[in-house]
Parts: sequence; structure tokens; C-alpha cells
Amino acid sequence: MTKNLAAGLISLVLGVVYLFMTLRLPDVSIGDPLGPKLFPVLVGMGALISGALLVVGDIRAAKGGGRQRADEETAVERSARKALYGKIGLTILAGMVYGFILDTVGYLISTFVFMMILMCLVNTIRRMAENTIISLGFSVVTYVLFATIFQVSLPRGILAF
Amino acid sequence: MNLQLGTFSYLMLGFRQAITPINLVWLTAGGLLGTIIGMLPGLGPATGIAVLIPITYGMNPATALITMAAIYYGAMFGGSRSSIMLNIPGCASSIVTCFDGYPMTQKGEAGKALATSAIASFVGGMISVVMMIFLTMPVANAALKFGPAEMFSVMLFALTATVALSQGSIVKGFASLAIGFMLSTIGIDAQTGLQRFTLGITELQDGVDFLVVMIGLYAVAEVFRNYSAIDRKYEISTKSIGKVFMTREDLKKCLMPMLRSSPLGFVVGVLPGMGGSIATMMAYAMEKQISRHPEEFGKGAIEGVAAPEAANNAASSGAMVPLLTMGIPGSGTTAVMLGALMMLGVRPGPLLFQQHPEVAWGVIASMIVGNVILIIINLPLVVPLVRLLNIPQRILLPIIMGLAFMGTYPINYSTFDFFLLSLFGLVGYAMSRLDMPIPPLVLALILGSNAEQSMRRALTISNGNPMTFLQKPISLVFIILTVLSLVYSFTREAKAKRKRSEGVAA
Amino acid sequence: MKVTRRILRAVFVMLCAAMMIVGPGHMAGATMKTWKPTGTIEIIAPANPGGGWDMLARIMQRTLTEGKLVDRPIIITHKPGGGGATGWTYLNRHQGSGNYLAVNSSLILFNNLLGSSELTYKDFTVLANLETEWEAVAVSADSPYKTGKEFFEALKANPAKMPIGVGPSLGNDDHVQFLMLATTYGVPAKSINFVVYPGAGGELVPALLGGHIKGLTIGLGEVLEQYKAGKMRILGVSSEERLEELPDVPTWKEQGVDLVFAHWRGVMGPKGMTPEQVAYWEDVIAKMVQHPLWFEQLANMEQYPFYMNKAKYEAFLAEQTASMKSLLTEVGLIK
Repeated sequence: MTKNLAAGLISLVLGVVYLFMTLRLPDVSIGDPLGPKLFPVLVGMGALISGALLVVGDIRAAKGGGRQRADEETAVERSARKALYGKIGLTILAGMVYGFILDTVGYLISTFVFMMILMCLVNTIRRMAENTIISLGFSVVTYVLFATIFQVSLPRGILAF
Repeated sequence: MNLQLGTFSYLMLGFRQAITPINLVWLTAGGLLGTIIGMLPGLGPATGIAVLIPITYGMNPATALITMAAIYYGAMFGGSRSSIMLNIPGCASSIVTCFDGYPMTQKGEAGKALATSAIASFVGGMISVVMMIFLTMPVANAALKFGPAEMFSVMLFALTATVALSQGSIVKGFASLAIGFMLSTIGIDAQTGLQRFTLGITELQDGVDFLVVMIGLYAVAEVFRNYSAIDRKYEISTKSIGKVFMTREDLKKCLMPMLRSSPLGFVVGVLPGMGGSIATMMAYAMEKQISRHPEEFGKGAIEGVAAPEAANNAASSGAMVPLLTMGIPGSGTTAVMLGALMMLGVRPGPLLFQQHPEVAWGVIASMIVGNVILIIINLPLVVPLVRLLNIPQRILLPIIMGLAFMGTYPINYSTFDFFLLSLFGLVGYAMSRLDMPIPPLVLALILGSNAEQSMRRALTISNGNPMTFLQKPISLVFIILTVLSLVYSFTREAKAKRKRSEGVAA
Repeated sequence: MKVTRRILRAVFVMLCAAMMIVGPGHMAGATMKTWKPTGTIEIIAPANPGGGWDMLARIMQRTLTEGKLVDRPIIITHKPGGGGATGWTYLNRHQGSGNYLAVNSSLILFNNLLGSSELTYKDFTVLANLETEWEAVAVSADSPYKTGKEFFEALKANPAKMPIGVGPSLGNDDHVQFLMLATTYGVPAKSINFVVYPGAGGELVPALLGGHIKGLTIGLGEVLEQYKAGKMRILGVSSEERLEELPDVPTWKEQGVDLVFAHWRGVMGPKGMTPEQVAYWEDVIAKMVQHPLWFEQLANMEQYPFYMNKAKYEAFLAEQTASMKSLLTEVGLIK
């Protein structure tokens, strides 16, 4: 699948789903009845048109032979891609865990944990001293900056003070 | 003549106010604080000013307003640092600066780009203050004539022009724009109170915060992209400092763009409900349109940094005009300023210039002094900032990721946003893999709800007659401009395609 | 020798000061186990900085801190969303804590009555009502309408030609005031061409000055400066009697409409506060609303003192819930 085709299909699918949801919106009792649907309908149509243009353009390009073919993936590239996806997945997982514990455990500890995971992921587990110093420094510096200087209410958690 | 003389003596009164030692100290502190806040993700000038309010209790009103204004335009100086160095905008009005600022960094001209942005901000600030001194009242009165129909048409033009003139496929740009509009309709509809597209999720009732989406699409996705760069073991930290200061040639190139973008930014800033993001979009589109080498835009053209930077600082001065002349807060930031002034017993309104000339003229004069101070602060900052690029990726990336997450939290104090942040990180990564431009999505999300509400308001007022957009002259002009920029961009793309296929045939 | 005397004098002064701060009020409550805030005090303003809730939270913060009524630092947390619901839900994440307070307003009743939120004041520990703001209907200075009657008759004759501005959303005090007036003057609620400005005063005032809307219903403070500068005319205010600083503006009551409408704001704590915590705050708030700084700040913000202690406030809330319910039914917002 080419990039244009993929982008076109995504736009088409989103447009269809969005229009479907728009038409299912309930009628309102106050204000004009058409109001809340008008803009979404226009936007949904826009998505459909751009999606269709991309798909049609891609098919015509394929017929004319002018389609850019994606390069064959080598074995090295494939393993690199898998490693990359693994890293992205782990980062997101770490982010979810961070969100899950932030309110109960408090800012300082959960941020330290989050940073440690990221540092180990990117900076490898071998440089443990560096990872610890940076994670600790990051948590403390940002806490002082945001909570103390900018008076942002960060969760205090179990290290209450 | 008489009026001019009056203006001059008031301005002198303002200067006497602005250069008292205490005001100079606060001016510098405010500018510095603003610069720092502008650089941090998630924190904007409104937060910075809100933090300062308790301190202003001990100040006289003039000092308080001078300090708050300094934070506001200081943030404009700071906001584009990360756009240029990391392709991560610090606030909405520095998105456009990424277009050419980051390519300059990739070419090893980070220092030059940063210096250009500081100088352009300075020029934008100075020109807008001069306009403030002489044109405040006429511009403020003209702005009142901007009704919902006019607002809608201007936003429509700014968005289409950005898509039409940005890099890459135009159709993909419009697809991205449509997705951004879709996101902007999530939440409670203001005109009717109806919940739309929330999927039953309470956190989505008030819509998707554009800051969360922006940090996800830019910062998180940028880190994801660079993860692969580490694996392939090629260092991209070859970004050398480059020449810190602009050459005479660079200055020459930027002079006209700055002189054109500053008044434009100022006028857009005065319009109610508009802001720096529209000003930067219009300035960029205009410069690309009239440039003799439009193909260089998006690939590190120095004018592409100078124009939006001048426009966005000018827009921040413009936003002060409705506040000073009528007591109308046109943006979240000026609303906080208004509140702070009221707590000190000064109620900005149509009579502010008569009742408190020392406050009104003091802040205007202080903006001249403040812009000088800010450029003195910001130019030497360029060298240490660029040095930061020498931090190895393996350490820089986790720190960017950490800042993205922690900067997201105070936006809504909700960890639900972490989920959105990750989601849009993935979306941003996928979009760059598919060569879909990201800016249209973010800008449509920022302006979408305002655009929709303006459109519906215009229709309500005209009792559902869509011709209202063509009957109002200002609106008509912008509708025509929108159509022109569409036609221009499609013919340009068709021409480029023909050239390409001819090249294949030959 | 000299030094010792100076130290002694300092100690004496400090003792006196301490006694003055502790005061007799404290002695009376000495039989009960006393409680004091244990950490940073957080006042939640369920809106963005710059609005009415933010201002009230700031006035409280300033009076409590500068008046030395509390000895812990106070921070203000902004949690906008859901017409206040987001911030109030956040307050209840700290159930049983005495360190968290939130400001509220008549919106807490409206949200529930109109079905946009499950929360009622009974889900929290209400502490006191603090202040109020009066409502106004304004037209631009060059408008032909001089009285409420003229205005509403014109509206009745041609509602389509007279768009009315309201913000930030429908179903708030401003909107209800206007519907109430319209009903009294015989204008069908459905026919009114409401234009909603989510930016509230910041967008409504220029819209009226620019002639894009023909009238607006809004908190008095937002149009007062425009009125003083002769740019707007205020057709009526919702207060009981004419206001001191607006001797020329009649109340609705004077114009024959039975409408006194307060947009009040108060303060509450999370669910499950202990009696000791409640007693502490009742005491502190009672002192706060007597402080000169309190009155000065309220006047600066165009707000009026409207203090009720916990018992009175609870009775008031119950009464308001009932009367607002019948009012909203009358104007057609509740079926």
C-alpha cells in the first residue's frame, strides 16, 4: 500500500464514521435544530472528498505506472523497525503506569520511576548511575520549578509536606 | 497638531513612569520570567501572570501592568526556542516558526535562526508599540466592526492559506485539516449545550485541549521518530552552533518581511478572539506568496522565521489594545491582567486613558524599554541554548518525553490527558510516516471551535441566510482571497505534477 | 543589660500579639477538640483564571493571608470544565480533608436542575455564602429603547431582528434572568434569537458596541465601565433597591416586574469534613467577612457582600433549589 492510498483510506473511514455519528445526534430543544449538525456535516464531507481524491489519484497513478513503489524492506530494516515499535510500546506503557500512580503515590516518586524507565529504555541499563542522577534531578528540579515557583498544584502523595 | 502634542507629552509621562528603578527591575524580571515560561511546555503567559498576582498586591497599578505585559511579550520571545531547536512549538503562536526554523537547525544554522527570531520579535514589538501610540483608537474602533461573519471568513482564509502554502500534498493537507476540525467539535456545543462526539467519556465533555494534542503530535512523536535514529547509530547531533549573528545579507533579506508582518500581526492581534496563531499563519502565507523564491520556504528560509516571529510579538501588543481602550479582554491572558488590575482598584474601561493616564501610557512606554531589555537578554542566550543541542540524544530524548508528560498534567490536572498524549504521539508518528502535514490538524483544532461558533452566530444573526458571508464587504474580500489561494495552490500542484511526468518521459 | 531588656520587651510584644490573634473566640471553642490546617491550603476555582470564581478565590486568599487569619500558605488551583463540575469533582477527591476548599455559585443548582450534572450541594460540606453580583440587561447607547418595557415590546414585535447576546453558555443566571423578564413581558421564550458567546463579557461587550447584537443579558460588573463612559445604556438591574453607584438605573421591581435575582457565590469543602474542621472554617470565614480588606476587594470587583453562615446558607440553598425549579419550569427550560 502506498502512503497516499493509506492516507486516503484513513480520511475516508474517519469521514464516514464521523458523518454517521453526526446524523445520529439528537435534535435540540433550545437553539436552532440544524445548528449543531451543520458544521460537522461540512467537515465530514471535506474529509470524504479529500480521501476520495487521494484514493482515486493513487489508483490512476498506479495505472499510469507513475506510482512510487515502497522500497523492499531488508531483514536488517525489519528488525530495526520491530525494535522501534517495541520501544514506542514500552514508552506508552510507562506513560500509562505514570498516569495510574501519579495521584496516589505523588509527583516526586512517580516521576522518578517514569524517568528511570525511559532512561533505561533509551540510555541502556548499563549506564545506571547516569540514569539515576538524571531521573532524580529531573523530578526534583521540575517539582521545585512548578510546585514552588509557579505554584502549580502537583500531587503530593505519600511524601506529604 | 494639538492632538500630536498631547500624545507626545503623555508619552513622556509614560516614559517617566517606565524608567523608575523599581519599574525597570520588574520589567526585567517579568521579561525573564516570560521568556522562561514561553520555553516550558504547557505553561503559557496566562499561567505566568496568574502566578504573579499575589506579588502585584504590593505594587502600584502601573508597575503591576508593566510587569504583566512584560511576561506576555517575554513569552513570545521564549516560545519559539524549542520550535527552532527541536521542532516542538512551546505555544500555539510558535507552530509556524517550526516550518523554517527547524530546517535551519538541521542545516546547522540553529544559532542564526534563534538570533533571527529574537531580532524579528524585537522589530515586531517596536513597530507595534509605535502603532499603538498613534493608532490605538482608530484601530480599536475599526475592530468593533468585525462581526461573526467577518471572523469566520478571516479564519477560513488563514487556514486554507496555510494548507495551500505549506509543504507537501495539498489534498493531504486538507485531509489533515478536516481531522483537526473533527477534533474541535468534540464536547459540549456552546450554542445549544448539546454533547457531541464524546463517546460517553466525561473527560471529553469540555473538548480535547489543543495543548495536549500539540505536545503529543510534536514532542512525543518527535521522540518516537528519533528512537529509530539512535538504533541506526547515526548521530544527528551534528547541529553545530553556526553563525550566531545574522550577516548583513540576512538582515537585508528579513527587513521587508519584518516590516510587512509587524503591522499585520498588530492588526490581527487587536481583533477580538483572534490571536498570535492566526497572525503568524497570515504573515507566513503572505511572505511565501510574494517571495521571489517561494520554493525555499519550508526548507530553511530565513524569512520564514523572521515573518511569523515579528507578527506574533506584534499581535501580543495588539491584544493589549482592546484591554487598554475599552476594558475588553480579548484573550485568556488579557482577562487575567484585567482581573489583577481590578483587584488593585483600577477598572480598565473606555475612560482608562483619562482617569489613569500614568497606567495606560506607562505600559505603552514600558513596552519600548521592555523590548530593548528582552533583546539584550535573549541574544546572549543563543549560545548556551545551542550548546544544549550537543547533549546526546540518548539523554535528551527521555528529558523531552518527561517534560511532555509533566507539562501536560497542569493543563487539566487530569491523568486522562496522559492517555490522549500517548494517542496523539502515535497519531503524529503515523502521520509523518504517511507524509501527512501536522500543522493543519493542530491549527484547525485551535481555531475550529471559534470558526464554527462564528459561522453559526453569523447565521443566527442573519436568520439562517448564508449570503451574509458575501454581503459584508470585509467578509467578501476574505472569501475571495480564500478561493484565490485554493485555485493558486491547485494549479501550482498540477503544474508540478506535469513537470514531474514530463521528466519521467524524457 | 540593654540587650536583655530589648529581648524582654520583644517577648512581651510577641505575647500580646499572640493573645490578640488567639482571641476570645478561640477560648469559647476550647471545650471542643480543635483542628487546624495541616498543610498547604488549596482553594479550587473551577474555572480559568480571570473569571468571577477566580476573583473570589483570590480575594479569599488575599484576605486570609494578609489578614493573618490562617498560618498556612494558600494556593489557588484552576480546574475549568463542566460549568464547575470538573473542579467540584476534584474537590471530592480529597474527602474528609480540611485543607481543600472550593468556591461555588448558583450554577451548582442550575447544573443539577437542568440535568447537565449529577452533583448537588448535598454532595459537599457547604460552609458559607460570601457575595453576590447583580444582573443587568444592556443595550448600546444609540439604541432607541429607554426602558425595559419598550425593549421587550420591540422584541415581541420582531424577535428575528433582535439577536440577544448571552455567555458563556445557555442555562446560566444571565440566560434565566432574560427568560424570566421575557415571560413577564409576554415574549414567547422560543422566539428569542439568543446568540451564545463562550468568551462571555470579553466577546459580548464588543459584539454589542459593534452593533452585531441588539441587547445583552450579563452580570452588572461587565458593563458598568461602558455605562459610565456613555457607550451603553442599562435598562434595569436585578437588585432589590437602586444601587448606590447607579442612581439613574431603575431596578426591575420598580418597572413592575417581580424579579430580584442574585448571582451569589459561596464556599464549600469536600464531603465528610469533621465537625472540628467545619468549626475551624466557620470561625475563620466569619472573621474574613468582617475584615476591611474583604470589603475593599469586593467593591473593587463590583461584587456585593452577601454573607450567610453555614446554617443560614443550607436553608437558603434548599429554598433556592425549590424556587429555581419552579422558575425554570415556568420559562420552559425544564419540562
